[in-house]
Amino acid sequence: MVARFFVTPARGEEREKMLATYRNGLRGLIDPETGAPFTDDVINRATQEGSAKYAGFDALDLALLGLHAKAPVIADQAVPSRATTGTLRGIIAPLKEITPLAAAGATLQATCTADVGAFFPGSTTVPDAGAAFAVDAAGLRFQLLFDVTTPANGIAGSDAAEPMLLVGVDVGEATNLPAGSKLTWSGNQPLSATKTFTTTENGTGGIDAETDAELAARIEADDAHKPESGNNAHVRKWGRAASNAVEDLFVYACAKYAGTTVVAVTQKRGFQTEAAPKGPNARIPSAGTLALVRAKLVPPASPVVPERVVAVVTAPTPQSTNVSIGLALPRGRGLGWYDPRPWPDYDAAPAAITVVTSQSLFRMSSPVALPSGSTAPRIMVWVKAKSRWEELRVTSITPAGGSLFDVVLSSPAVATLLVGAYVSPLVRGFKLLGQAVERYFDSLGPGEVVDLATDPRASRAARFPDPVERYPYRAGSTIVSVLQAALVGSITSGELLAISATVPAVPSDPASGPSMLVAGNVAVYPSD
Amino acid sequence: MFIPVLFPPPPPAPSTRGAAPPILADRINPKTGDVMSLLEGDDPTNAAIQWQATVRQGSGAALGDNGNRLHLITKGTEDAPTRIADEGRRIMSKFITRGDVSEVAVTGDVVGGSTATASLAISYFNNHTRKKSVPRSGGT
Repeated sequence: MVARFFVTPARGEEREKMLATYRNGLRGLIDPETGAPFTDDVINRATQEGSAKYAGFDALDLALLGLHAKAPVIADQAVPSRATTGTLRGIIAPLKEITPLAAAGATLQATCTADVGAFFPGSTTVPDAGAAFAVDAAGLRFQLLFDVTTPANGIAGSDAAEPMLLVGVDVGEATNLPAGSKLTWSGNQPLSATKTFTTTENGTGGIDAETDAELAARIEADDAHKPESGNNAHVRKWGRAASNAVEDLFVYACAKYAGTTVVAVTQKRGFQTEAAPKGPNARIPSAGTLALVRAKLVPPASPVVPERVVAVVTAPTPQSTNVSIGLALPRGRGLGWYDPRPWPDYDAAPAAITVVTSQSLFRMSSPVALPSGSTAPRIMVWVKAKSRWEELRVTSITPAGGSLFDVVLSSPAVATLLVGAYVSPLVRGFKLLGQAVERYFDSLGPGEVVDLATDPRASRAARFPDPVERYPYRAGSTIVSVLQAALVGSITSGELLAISATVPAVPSDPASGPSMLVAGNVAVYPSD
Repeated sequence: MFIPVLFPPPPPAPSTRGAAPPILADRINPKTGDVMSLLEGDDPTNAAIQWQATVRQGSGAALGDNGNRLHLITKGTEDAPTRIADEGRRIMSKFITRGDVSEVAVTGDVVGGSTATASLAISYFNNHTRKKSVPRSGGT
């Protein structure tokens, strides 16, 4: 429950106040039968539970409770993040001249066979009648974002310098088509192009209309830092209003030289199912999202930024971060370790896959030997592409010399096993822990574009909003408290055993944009 | 023609009677449920029991477990007297638990056959006044 600005009387409080006043009044009166003041005994009997007077005050108390309940609700309307939908969208947003954002379309990457030199027209104006466009099986429309000329191998989009990016003309989460989805050209494509072609990457950037919480966050950002005259807050406000897919905007003023503005965009993770999480890079903006922000912020086409400004809109560079965490969890019960003697353990290095023979047979390293008598401890592997753990069904684990162990699985791992993937002892609550790891990294933001300690531009070019205030970029032991919150009451303590990076790297050129720490390989080990 | 009119003398102003005596608990008319007197109260325990037996649960201030549920006994069936007496015991239970009353005897009856009214008789010893209850008649 959200903390209240003020307390309202609990049930019975007002009744007791009224009764106390009434009893005090009676104490000054003379009992006509005895000629002496009323005794406390008769006063108590006249006002105790079951008496008409008590029932009367109790009924009043109940009526007042209903009235008091309205007070916090009315007080909440003053704060955007606590206001009801009607107040937020009907009063606050119009007063602040902030319009709720509509749903956004995803960006897809694809390749298509065509004659060498065949030209596919693209456009960053969505929709554009002149751009090539395609539909999927459900009839969702996608438009080519940038021009593509078919290279010498006859596969348009295969050249990394000229990818075939399609952005949703239709909008919403449904446009995030998975890799391998079939699209059919429906107009403006070259005649030699294969009619049906396939996407090569998972769609990203498709998101439903802005929620109340997201709208309130944009309004409150304006309250925290007043946007005016193109200041950092103003640039952030403009950029966030470019598309609902934009999670937040990070501004680095004068990052290259006076008059430059480097902007880094993060993208909303949006809705995802546990079966198909969007992975560690879901917050890296799609080309379509970036194009919309560029259209809003980069002069001379920008409707808001004057021509004299040099604006550079970038995506943060994801910096994969490996983490080993020690947790004090119950053993063999609750949401804790599955085994009473969990294995593997951490000792200067994590346990990781070294050789993959098949999805059911691999070799792993562990700095710690198997517990005596244990031949098939329950283990799980971190699936980096999904930011989730997968439980492995172990038939046997046998020492293979040194610190190596051969693992045979009774059923093949679902996710592709990769060399270097971290292996941990199985935690019964591993699904909750995986989500918590993702949540922690989602709470981080991009780093700096200049070295704040040595660069003379530091005072101007430091990240806005301040990492102390929103989206810190430094990773560390805070992850333990996020995991603790995920398994409430199970994790008594924890420690960060190792982390491959605590601060995002600073780019050599500020215009390349900042880096951002994202989840790499993650492992948890007993620590108690 | 002059016709003499004799006006009645005006009633005395309330203030000439002095302050009303303080009343701890209203004396309730069991037949009507109204307050019987503004000048005379009742023993608080007797008044509370009378009020509980008079007021219908859920009406006015009688929320929660206050008031009686005799109105739910709508048919003078064979078990009606038992149900009426049970309701009387329920009314008395909080006073018994608190030690306000003892020697409680409750009887229920249906007076006048199947279309008649419910009758509830409660007698008890008031531990505070050290007196037996006096019979009061009325009810719903």
